[in-house]
Amino acid sequence: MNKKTSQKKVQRDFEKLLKELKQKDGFIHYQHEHGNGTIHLGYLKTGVDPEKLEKYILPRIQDYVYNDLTELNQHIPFTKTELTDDQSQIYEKLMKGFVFIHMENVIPSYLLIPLPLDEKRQVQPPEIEFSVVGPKEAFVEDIDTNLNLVRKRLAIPELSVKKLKVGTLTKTEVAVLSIDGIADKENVETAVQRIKDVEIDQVVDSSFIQQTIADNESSPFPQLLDTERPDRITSILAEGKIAIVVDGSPHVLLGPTTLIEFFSAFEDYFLNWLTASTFRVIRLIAVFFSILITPLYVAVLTHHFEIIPQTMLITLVHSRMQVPFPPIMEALLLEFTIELLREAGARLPTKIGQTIGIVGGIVIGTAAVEAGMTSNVLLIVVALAALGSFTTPVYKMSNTIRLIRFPLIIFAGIYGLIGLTIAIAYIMVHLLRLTSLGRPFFAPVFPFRFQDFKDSLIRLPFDKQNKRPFQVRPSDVKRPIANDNDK
Amino acid sequence: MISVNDKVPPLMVFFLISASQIGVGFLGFQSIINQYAGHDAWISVIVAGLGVSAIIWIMYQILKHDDKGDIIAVHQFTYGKWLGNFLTLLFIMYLLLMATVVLRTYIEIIQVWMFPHLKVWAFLLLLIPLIYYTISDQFRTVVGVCFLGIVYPFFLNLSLLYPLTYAEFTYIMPIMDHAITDIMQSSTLAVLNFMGFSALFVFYPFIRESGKSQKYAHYGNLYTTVLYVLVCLIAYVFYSQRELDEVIWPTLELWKILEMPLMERFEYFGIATMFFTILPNVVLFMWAATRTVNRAFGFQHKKVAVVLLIILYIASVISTGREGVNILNDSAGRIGLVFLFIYIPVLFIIHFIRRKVRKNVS
Repeated sequence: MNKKTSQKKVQRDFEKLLKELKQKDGFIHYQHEHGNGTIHLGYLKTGVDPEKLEKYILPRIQDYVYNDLTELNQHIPFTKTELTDDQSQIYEKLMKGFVFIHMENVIPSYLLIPLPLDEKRQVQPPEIEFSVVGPKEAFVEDIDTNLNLVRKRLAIPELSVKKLKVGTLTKTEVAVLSIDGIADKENVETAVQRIKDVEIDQVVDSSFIQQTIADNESSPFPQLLDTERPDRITSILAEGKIAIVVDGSPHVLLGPTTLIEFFSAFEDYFLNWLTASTFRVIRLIAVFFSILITPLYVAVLTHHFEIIPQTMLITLVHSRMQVPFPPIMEALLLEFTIELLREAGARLPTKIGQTIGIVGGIVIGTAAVEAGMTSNVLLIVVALAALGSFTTPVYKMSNTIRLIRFPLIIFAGIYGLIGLTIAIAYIMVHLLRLTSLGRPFFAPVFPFRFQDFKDSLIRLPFDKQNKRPFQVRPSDVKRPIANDNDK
Repeated sequence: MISVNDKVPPLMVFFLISASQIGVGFLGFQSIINQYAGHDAWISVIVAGLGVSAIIWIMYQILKHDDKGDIIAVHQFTYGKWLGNFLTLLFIMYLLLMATVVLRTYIEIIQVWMFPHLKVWAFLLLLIPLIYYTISDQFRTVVGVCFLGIVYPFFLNLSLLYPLTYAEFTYIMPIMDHAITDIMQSSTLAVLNFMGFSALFVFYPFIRESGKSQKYAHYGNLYTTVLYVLVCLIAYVFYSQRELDEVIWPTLELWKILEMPLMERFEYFGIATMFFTILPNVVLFMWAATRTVNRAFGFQHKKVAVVLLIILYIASVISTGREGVNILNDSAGRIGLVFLFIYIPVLFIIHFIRRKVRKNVS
């Protein structure tokens, strides 16, 4: 008696659901009369792989007779199927590419089979962190592919993957990767806890996670490094850091990181240590140059022209003779122009972008000097500064470098070298205060860690790096690297 | 009470002590300390360094025997709550005075050498937020500033080797040409450049295994002493004593003669870079003052910082002109001498007696 009424209720509910679903775009409903009653099959056309459906599901329903859905389930060659009575989640599942099968008068009354249409990019060579030598695989948008790319490089049971769901609307899958016994448990917990605490409706890229779990969201410096190289992720996991993979994003986050790590390209590890160290030093000089050269020009020409030696002063004065603006205006104008060019180039399709480069760089540049709007010395300075900022391997950091140049120029314009020093002190104190997943961001400079310098400004040979970076507090500091000198 | 994350390793005491000692005095103390001892004044620097080392030893003896290990607890234990807190208040004022002196003297140098028409009030508006930004967070940030304040301007010391090419070593001969009393008198002047380490009374509990940090404190003082002696000697072999009467800022004048292919007037860079030496001074004093108020009277750290920085701002703006700065320097020097060489030993003795008495009673 009771059973019958409940079954009737299920039937009523199902008819209601069917009515609702039929109004949705692309819903397909299929009915099959069957010895024991009617079997209903429904799915959304856009999300389901039709080949699999025709090949594996339909013949089973049409050709055999089942008593209930549990029996049917056993004959379906797919894992992750679900048997349920709960109607409320059916539509959500349909959106994710599930097919539901409903049988009348049985309990449980729904069988959900995942047949999602795999729409994913093939694994391709890295574009942003391209390297001439070394592996040519980059992450794609699909989280399973990404995890697989890491797993096949680190096929050990210690590799732990913690999966979480973030985003009230998108319900994006986020995985926290670490190696048990090497990574610090506290770091992993910090990351997991922060991801759990995120309250956001949508996560469409790892940058959303990067920004929401950042230690200081208002800092211009990114506090988690992002990479598209699976080999880099493997390498940092072995160092005791943790990686955060976000579904739908080809960029994987890693942390805790340091400022200096942002200036190391992964290619450094594929080259001989001498070459790699030289390139790293060049890159760092380029960064300092890029940040400081325009402010120095402004400071010296506005306030302290006594500093310039006589021979050079003639050149400088000659080039600036016609310019009607004070140096700070001149510099801001030109920096703005460069930013304009970069922004225009970035927003346009590649082919038109090249034209912009030529028009902007050559035509405007020459014309501006000839018209006496700016001095050609400053033109060289600003162009070199822009060039220097592009040597940074991590795109987000190169944006930061360009951004912090502007306050420096303004400070230098107000109080010359003293102003510039104060501005640098602001950045310095900011970096001292900054942390990445709770670990100091400015290490190994401060807190000073001699050990960690082996892979920072320079990269020493692998057999010298027999300890993991102390900055991430690895549970197991010693690296199993044979030191030639010990033998 | 103080979390482990907020504590710093004992080695950092080296940087804290030397960063708090080296300040504006570095730019021109050579022509002040030779008042009594003449060309032997560099020996006075050594004497002053030794004296300061003794005071550091005394400070450690006081701090070691206290559970909380800072001046507030020591004062309350020694003098009782009311008198103790009153003396703590005086200590806070001393710290504020020192911060004002350092800041104001540095601005004075900027005014003399770079921007004669610099508006102090406007300049400080850029600087005060920086100090607030440093002291309002963890102590770690302050230590970081001290660390970089020693490491980063280090190349400045190398630049002072260049004037040695013009050295006249006869200028400092014969050595020990002055009476001991003269040298001692000069060392009372030299010791003014060593002040600032009194913040040790406040940051002591922030050091991990603070008892073991004593040797680093002495090393820090040693570094300062060696640096001062070298800078002093370089100035004395470059200038004759008569020339030194004319020169107000010998170190700055020494930078002036530096020749480099890309720039002249190195002292501009010197003064700018000295900012990284000045900042730890001011920041450490202000942090110590803030922390002391917070500990003694229980007000919120950030709010105290704001109030004290407003006081610092007003004090720096009021004291105008060369006269004002001189008065500030003289009074701070005198108060500092009394504090370090009279008050601290007295405190040590009373504290020692109190401890014995307390022990006997229990």
